[in-house]
Amino acid sequence: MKRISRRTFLRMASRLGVTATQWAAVPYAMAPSQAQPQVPGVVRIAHLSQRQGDYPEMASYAIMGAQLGAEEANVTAEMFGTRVELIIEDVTRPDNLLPMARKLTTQEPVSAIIAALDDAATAELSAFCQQAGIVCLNTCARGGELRGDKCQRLTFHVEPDLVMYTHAMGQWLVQNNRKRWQYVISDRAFGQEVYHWASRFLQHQGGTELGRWVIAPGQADFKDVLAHLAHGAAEAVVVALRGAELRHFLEQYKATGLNTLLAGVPLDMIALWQVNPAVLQGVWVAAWYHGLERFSARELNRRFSRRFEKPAESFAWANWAAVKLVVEGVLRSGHAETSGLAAYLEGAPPFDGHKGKALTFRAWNHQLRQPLYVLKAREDKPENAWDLLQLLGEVPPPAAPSKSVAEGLDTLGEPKTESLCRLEAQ
Amino acid sequence: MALRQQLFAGQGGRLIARLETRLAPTLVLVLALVIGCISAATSAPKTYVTNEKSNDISVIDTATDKVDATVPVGERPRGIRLSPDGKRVYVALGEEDRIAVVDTTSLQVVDRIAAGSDPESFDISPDGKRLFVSNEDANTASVIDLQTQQIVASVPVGIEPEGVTISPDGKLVYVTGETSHTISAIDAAALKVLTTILVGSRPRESAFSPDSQKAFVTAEIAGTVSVIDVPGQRVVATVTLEGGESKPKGVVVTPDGKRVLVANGASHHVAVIDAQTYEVVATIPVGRRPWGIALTHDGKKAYVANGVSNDVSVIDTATHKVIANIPVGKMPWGIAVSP
Repeated sequence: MKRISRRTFLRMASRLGVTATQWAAVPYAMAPSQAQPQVPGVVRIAHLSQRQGDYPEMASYAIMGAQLGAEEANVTAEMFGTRVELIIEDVTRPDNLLPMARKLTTQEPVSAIIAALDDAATAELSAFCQQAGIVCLNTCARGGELRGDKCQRLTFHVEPDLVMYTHAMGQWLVQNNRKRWQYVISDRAFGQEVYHWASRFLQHQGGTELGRWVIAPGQADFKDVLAHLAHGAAEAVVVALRGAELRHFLEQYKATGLNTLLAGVPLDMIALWQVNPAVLQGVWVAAWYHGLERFSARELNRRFSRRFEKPAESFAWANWAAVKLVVEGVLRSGHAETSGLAAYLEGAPPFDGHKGKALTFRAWNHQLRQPLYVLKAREDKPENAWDLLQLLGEVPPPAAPSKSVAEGLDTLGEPKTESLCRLEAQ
Repeated sequence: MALRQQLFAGQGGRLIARLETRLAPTLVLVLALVIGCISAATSAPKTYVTNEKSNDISVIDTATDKVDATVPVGERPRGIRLSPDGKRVYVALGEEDRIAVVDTTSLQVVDRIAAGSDPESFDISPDGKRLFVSNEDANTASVIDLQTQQIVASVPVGIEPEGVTISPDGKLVYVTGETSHTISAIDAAALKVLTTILVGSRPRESAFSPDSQKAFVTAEIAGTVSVIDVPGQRVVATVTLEGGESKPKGVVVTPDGKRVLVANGASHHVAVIDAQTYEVVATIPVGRRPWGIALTHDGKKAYVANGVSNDVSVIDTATHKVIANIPVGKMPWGIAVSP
């Protein structure tokens, strides 16, 4: 496969009338001031997920989100004489991934591949897409490496990374005068990463760490941990666990009667739906929630639940957004191929994710800027199996002072100065 | 008689009686002038403001810039329009799926028209016979015959349709599609979409120039105003307001067609755009979250509904100064001025 160099990339972009110096601003700005560009007859988007993997439910919601995105994008596309074809593929085994991706880029090539995969598979696909010259959108993987030293120029991250989730929870806790934290974190990579960013954030805020307990995969007994937590006098316990470990922890925490605030990073709504609502407590940070109402979130949530008879959660939102981003890029730029689409996405088009703010990709690591939401467990009895949480607030707060929307949203995530990503070298 | 008593109160009775005899013709003239002025004041155009949270409309006298009356209308009033003769105010009631009809003389709700799910924005044809309303959930614009109150057509438009505006010549209806980022241009006679135009992200409202040759479309997330060449049905310019951070919503064009006024919800300003050069010529600080905006028919004053500060700013369009702030109900949203 041919690797697209930065020089080639810029040369292709220049054919679109985009100069290197105008790189950041022009692709979006030029589009609406021109007549509607000619668009290709079909926009083909591939969607890869792991329905047989460790997180089949995640794949299921990702697919539903992508389907809704494609259906909505098709309404718009048809107005302009084109149509959207979403090709949904199941990566049944890790060694299936690259052959599948190769096939998608050679037979009836796609405009973009949406990766609804775990971190390892996303990294593999991202590297492949860079070599093959195909735009890749990451909608599920949250790891920092993908946005750091493993970043790829043609990969754009719709799903927030763990730094953003951690910063959002940190900001909310500090705003609420909770600066004495304990940690209960998974011994998996995501847990370690949450701890890394949380401890840095807390130190920067002048807070105090009162203890850290690392939970081995499969651990079901939290007696010792709970005994320590009971004597910690913390103002919050930052919890970064998944699946069965999370369920066991919540059940045992409830049983002990401890009342220190649990702060879950990040929210895995699918996992929480499997928890007994009676043991659910604390605050959780998410990229989306089906109870959001402002900024037309209510309308998007309605469309999703009407279509699938299930509520939308963060993975569904990210996949809906990814499809919309690709199709908007094609319609506005008139280009379905990599150069035009990548130039459009890099040009910081103000994407409307029903979050009330213009969402744009960061130039230095291609992470989509976006507000996150802090939710709390309902104190009253939920009316159904879905409505376990309620909104506490948006982070950063809508009225927080900042010079620009982007600057405000950049308080979540790794700053450019600390990023290991070097897109300009690619 | 009541007026006379008020004017003469506190004066010496005898002197007044003598003066009254000698100056009777003059006094009659003065009285006539005073009564005439009062009469003129009461018949001055009115500004009607929907208050989304207090479920009423505020009626402002444009001569005094004070609230004359507050009229309860129903749940979640937002979009508001006047009939061409000014005798009726139509108010979209989002929580009731109805459009309330208010008699402007009695200030009573005289009718409630079924308008589909969650009506928000609509417009009335220049002949007053038809009402075009966006149906957000159904991705359609419904056309209602105001005499029979029946839906005569349902036109498919963009996703999450919102702002509805009929061109001054009555030939076109523009409907914004918030999620598809489109303007659907509907032939008002054939009731069919003529074309679809891609505009900025999350278009909210549009306004036509008086000659119906240009249209200006606010895009909330993009922070822009797209300028459409109406005969050519294409975007010819894009005006970025305050670096794209302003969340523009309401938009109006002055009757002389020279200026476009835009309510910038996030920056608490009204932007004034030159309708020929598309440059922003003034930025006027108003209340918090300016949303709806309307002009008097002579174009001398603009009224701006400020959703968060619960007031209406009155702008002198010649000086670009705010000349009054009028407290109204809770969360003012839409605004309309009578002829």
